[in-house]
Amino acid sequence: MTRENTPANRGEDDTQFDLSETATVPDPDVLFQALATTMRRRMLWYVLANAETTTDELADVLAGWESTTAGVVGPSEREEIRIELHHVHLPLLVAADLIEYDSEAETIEVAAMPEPVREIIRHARQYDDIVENTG
Amino acid sequence: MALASIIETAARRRTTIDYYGSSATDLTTQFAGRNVTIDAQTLPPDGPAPFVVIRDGDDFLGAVSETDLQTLLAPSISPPWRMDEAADEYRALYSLLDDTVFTSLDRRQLLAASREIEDRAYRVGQGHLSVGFQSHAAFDAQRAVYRRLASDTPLDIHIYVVDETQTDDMPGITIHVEPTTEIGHYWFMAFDGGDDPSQQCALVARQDGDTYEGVWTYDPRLVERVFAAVEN
Repeated sequence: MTRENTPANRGEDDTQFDLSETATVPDPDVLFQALATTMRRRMLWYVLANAETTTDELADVLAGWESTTAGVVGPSEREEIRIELHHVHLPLLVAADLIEYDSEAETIEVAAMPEPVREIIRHARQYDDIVENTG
Repeated sequence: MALASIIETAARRRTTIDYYGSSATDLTTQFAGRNVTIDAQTLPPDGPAPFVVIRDGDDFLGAVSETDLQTLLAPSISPPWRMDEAADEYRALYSLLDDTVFTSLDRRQLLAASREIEDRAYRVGQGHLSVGFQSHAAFDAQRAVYRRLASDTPLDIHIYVVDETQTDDMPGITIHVEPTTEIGHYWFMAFDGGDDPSQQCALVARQDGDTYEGVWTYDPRLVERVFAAVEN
């Protein structure tokens, strides 16, 4: 299947993954471990939605996201998020080949990944909303 | 104009509000304050509910959902002794935007900000509370609140009014009749926190037609200046 004929075959292709693109194909165990926490699902969704971000911006967004259910998020909570990003989540997502992190400039970009992986990230995010709205 | 200089001082602080959401926001209109910069960033619709990140220069002050922020901008008014559970949340919201100069506060917003200060004074239960009323009628409207504050607590309450007003039935309240134009043009309030300086707060607003330009602050230096301005 080529990119050009995707729209025409959409209905059929929705049910099957196309991993023929040149991007790295993450190991499923690694991918699902990356998606195993709310914070990483939000991080991945955000880096997917934005071409490039920084650790500071990501910490802001995660603090803001938290505030949508938890009320005001203050500087100390935001600092905890930033530290957790640095020490846990960013290294894990880099090791999973899902993001590219320039530690000097503190910039984060989404790694090249096949469309099905992007779909899984977006669906994982939506599933959080579904659970939250029904719970 | 000592009260005016407090608004000027607060206006030099630079507050930035970063909005993240999937739709356009009218925060720019709502925060038509001179020292607030609004930056909007569009998120895809399958993301989080809209929220804002508030900062002073480079310092992160807090993040809050747009829904909660709107509660602050269009507040419901409860008397100080009824705020209870809502009070902590309100307080966190108010502290995010202290020293932010609003150029178009309406009476309701100012009343809510005043309630926040009265609530603190009520909870601390002692200390010095100074309040200015622009008119006899404005004070009359709040008379019951102040009678309750004075009867429930040993707060040292000072009321500043521009003309003589009926005060015999208000023990615990000192009335100052100040026929100066400054008092008449401002809505102000200051609480020294009693024995807890971290509870200090003040509000100063200047009337401009139907709306007010004003600021609330938890900065001890500014609170002190409000007291000084009022007592001189």
